[in-house]
Amino acid sequence: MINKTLAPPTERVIEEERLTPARGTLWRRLRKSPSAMLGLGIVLVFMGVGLLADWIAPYDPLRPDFGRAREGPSWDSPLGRDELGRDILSRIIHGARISLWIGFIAVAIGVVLGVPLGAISGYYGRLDIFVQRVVDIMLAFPGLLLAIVLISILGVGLSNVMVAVGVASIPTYARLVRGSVLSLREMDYVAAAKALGMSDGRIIFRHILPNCLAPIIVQSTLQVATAILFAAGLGYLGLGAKPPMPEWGVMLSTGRDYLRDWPHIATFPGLAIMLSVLGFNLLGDGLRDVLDPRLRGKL
Amino acid sequence: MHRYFLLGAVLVAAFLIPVTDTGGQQQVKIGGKLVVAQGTDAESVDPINFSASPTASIMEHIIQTLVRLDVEDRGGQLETTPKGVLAESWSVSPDGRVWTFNLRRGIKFHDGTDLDASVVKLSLERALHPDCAAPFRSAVLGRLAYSPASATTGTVADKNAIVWRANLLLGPEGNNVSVAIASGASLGVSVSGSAITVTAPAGTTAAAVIRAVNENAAANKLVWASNAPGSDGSGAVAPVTATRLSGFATSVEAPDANTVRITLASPFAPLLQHLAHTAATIVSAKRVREAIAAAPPCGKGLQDKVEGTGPFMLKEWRRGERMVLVKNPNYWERDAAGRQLPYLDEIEWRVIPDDAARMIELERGTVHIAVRVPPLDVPRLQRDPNIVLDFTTSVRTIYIGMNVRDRIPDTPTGAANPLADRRVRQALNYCVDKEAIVRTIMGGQARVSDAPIVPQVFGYAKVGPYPFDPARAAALLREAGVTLPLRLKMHHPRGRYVRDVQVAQAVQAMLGTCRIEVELIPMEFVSFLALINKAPSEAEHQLYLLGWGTITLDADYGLYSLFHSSQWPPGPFNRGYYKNDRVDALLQQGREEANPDRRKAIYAEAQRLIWEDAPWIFSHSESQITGIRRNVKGADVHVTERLILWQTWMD
Repeated sequence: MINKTLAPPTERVIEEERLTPARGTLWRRLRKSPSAMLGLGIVLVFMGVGLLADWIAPYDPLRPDFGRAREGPSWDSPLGRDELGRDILSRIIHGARISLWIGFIAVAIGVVLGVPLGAISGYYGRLDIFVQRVVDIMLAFPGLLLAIVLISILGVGLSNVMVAVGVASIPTYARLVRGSVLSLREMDYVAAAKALGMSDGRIIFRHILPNCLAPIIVQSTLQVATAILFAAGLGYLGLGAKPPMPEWGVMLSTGRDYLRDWPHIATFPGLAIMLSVLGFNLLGDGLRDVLDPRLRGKL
Repeated sequence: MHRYFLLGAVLVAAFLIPVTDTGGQQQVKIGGKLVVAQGTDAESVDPINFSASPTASIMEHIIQTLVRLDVEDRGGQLETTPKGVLAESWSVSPDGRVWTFNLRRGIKFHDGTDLDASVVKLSLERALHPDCAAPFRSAVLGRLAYSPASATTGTVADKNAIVWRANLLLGPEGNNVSVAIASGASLGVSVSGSAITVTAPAGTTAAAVIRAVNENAAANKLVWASNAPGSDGSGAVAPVTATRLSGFATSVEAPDANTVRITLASPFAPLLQHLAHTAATIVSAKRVREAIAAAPPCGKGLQDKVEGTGPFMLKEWRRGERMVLVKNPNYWERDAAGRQLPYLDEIEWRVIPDDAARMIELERGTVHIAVRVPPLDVPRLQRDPNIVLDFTTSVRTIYIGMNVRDRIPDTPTGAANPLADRRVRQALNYCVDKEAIVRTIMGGQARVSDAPIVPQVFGYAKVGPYPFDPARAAALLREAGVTLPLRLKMHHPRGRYVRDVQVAQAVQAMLGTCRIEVELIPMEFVSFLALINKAPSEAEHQLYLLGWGTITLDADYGLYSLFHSSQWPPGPFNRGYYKNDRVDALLQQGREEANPDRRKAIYAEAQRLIWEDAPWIFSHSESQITGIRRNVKGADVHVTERLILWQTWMD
């Protein structure tokens, strides 16, 4: 009896330590993973380029120069010129800003709407059944398809892409948070909080959600990559950003017409999409390993 | 009459003749299936219900006209000659008003019925009927404004108004004519449906009204006779005979089974060119009669299936995918060596809107003929030993039309339209570098527009081009008091014209440098046509990219339909709602004038005025580049953007 009553608290202390490692530990452990560091490097470069686009882009990304249309890479234009003679490097640099925006806004929408939904669903058993059926329906559609459906309702345009991609990620967040909340709400400290007469809101937002932070951070990093990919896909299909906006998917789509004779027009935007998605994915994987080993293989 | 054609032929400067030889002495191989790829599907196979060349290209293999235009090479000089198809011969009365066509005998439609004059009459009358609203009615056959019966009765509505009612049918020309009468006399004329109401000042008797209308009609060179003394205004019915409403009113008669007689109110030299248009094709009467009986006067449900007299019969049509035509075993025409036509067993027309995909299929050999080769692909395809490229002139002008109404939509609550200001429209023209479009996007396989029509068309006059001058554009925009950046929308089709999406994007980029921000809205061609085919009060479009092929090779077809104010949609083609009274008058004169020199002068002035008004961004004229597999022989690309495949065979 004595053993049984004493043992669980010890375990719990260890478990809680593992869930929220100290900041120093996090960084130290992340540094040990070369792939995560590579991902972080790519993400930092990508963010730096996006933020400083106006200063570092050598040319105006929208200004055509018909005399130089479809010109290959040169010292003057390291990635060459596109079908209207615009500098591809400058367009990719400005495209980084657009992709960054899409990624962060979409993730913010997903987090802001998905997390509370999941928390409420997990905490209140009675609502769970309804919320989770809605989530099931949304999860039944592949994410990109759901985004296309939303675009067809909202209309074509960049801001609608952010909304669509964000909304398409809500069910993922809702499901993820619900799972964590389901286990956390059975914890003794929650019972203690209830016994002290705390309101449900305070319990959810002050005591349960902070403990779900790790999977949310991991998911959000990976979700940025998904959002960039979806936005490029929508742009490629003509449902996202519109010409002449230097969005990578749009650049890929117009470059496709010239693929056989002037492959550089489509190749470089394609590489930009690939690299940025790779960066966020590597970083997300690394963070998951560090923050929440239990999630390995689940996301 | 013949002189007209010779003259036209001399002016038709430089048609390139089809590369392949269709000589009858060659050994030909009979049979086989040919696959043709176009960028767009047909809209309909009903001649009163189509508007695009790719549709006509298919239809002309199934249904035929009385005559067709042959382009022939006479020692480097090219000539167009009308050649009898369903008509074996024709003659015209000395006054140029009555045309008599003798039909070829023994021709059967695909459904087994015989071709006779009554069928021709039915087809032509259906094409001419204003209620059927055939898109080409006015453009091609407007001169044959149709009045099915010559008598109508006028009733006295009240003391001072007479209403002509019943079977006098009016088209857009009719409306115009009525207004012209009204302006001449102090009479009010209003037209609503088939009723014309003439209102006179108080105290005028109905008899006086009728007399005034007739006098005025005569002054307008109209034949609008009345055999009735009229009424004293007491409300009694007065029978009136109004035989002709429009200067071009006509009748189509079938005096016997093999003779068709077309009577015009005034001579019209290019009648044969107009009858060679796909809109004047002759369709088997069997289903048409049933359809008309069910839904008078035009019939419904005829857009998916058609029976004609052509070398091929429609077998299968999956919309958006393919149309399959099979050989007509009873086809009447023979080649020069006396062999039965057509040589092929089957033609499959496939819809491949994506340029790159169409070219890949051609290169792989899964498609034998691909239209609209992207100019930038030409060098690569020329290196391919299995492909022959055909370069044929086109008479198609590509332009960016502008909605010029004061408000969009043109209702009191519509948004103010900056494009209503001529200076803004000119600025747009100065801001677009047409040379760059031709060089960069079209790979040099196009020509910068210097008039609304191309030089090969009779009546062309060089009035441009607008030089590329951004400073001038900026000055004009400033002068017009436009707040920059100016935001505009531009609708454009995808896959209809050579590099249409790229042209639209180039124009957008160029206008961007003048701080005119254009939002592009790419659309599938058939829905794009529906969007811009609206009355001004419903129209939402501002800029729209479109092309027009002047396939009769006469300025009338290229200008009247696009710039005359009677030609506003729905139906006709003045989709920017342009209106200039002087241009209207000139275009009308050009229709009525018979003297070629005077016509040229009239059209030159009209083009100059249109150019200054700049209702379009005048861009470029295309040329046709068609990719043909080397083993395909005798495929003919016509200057009017038709493929002619009944003398085609495969090695």
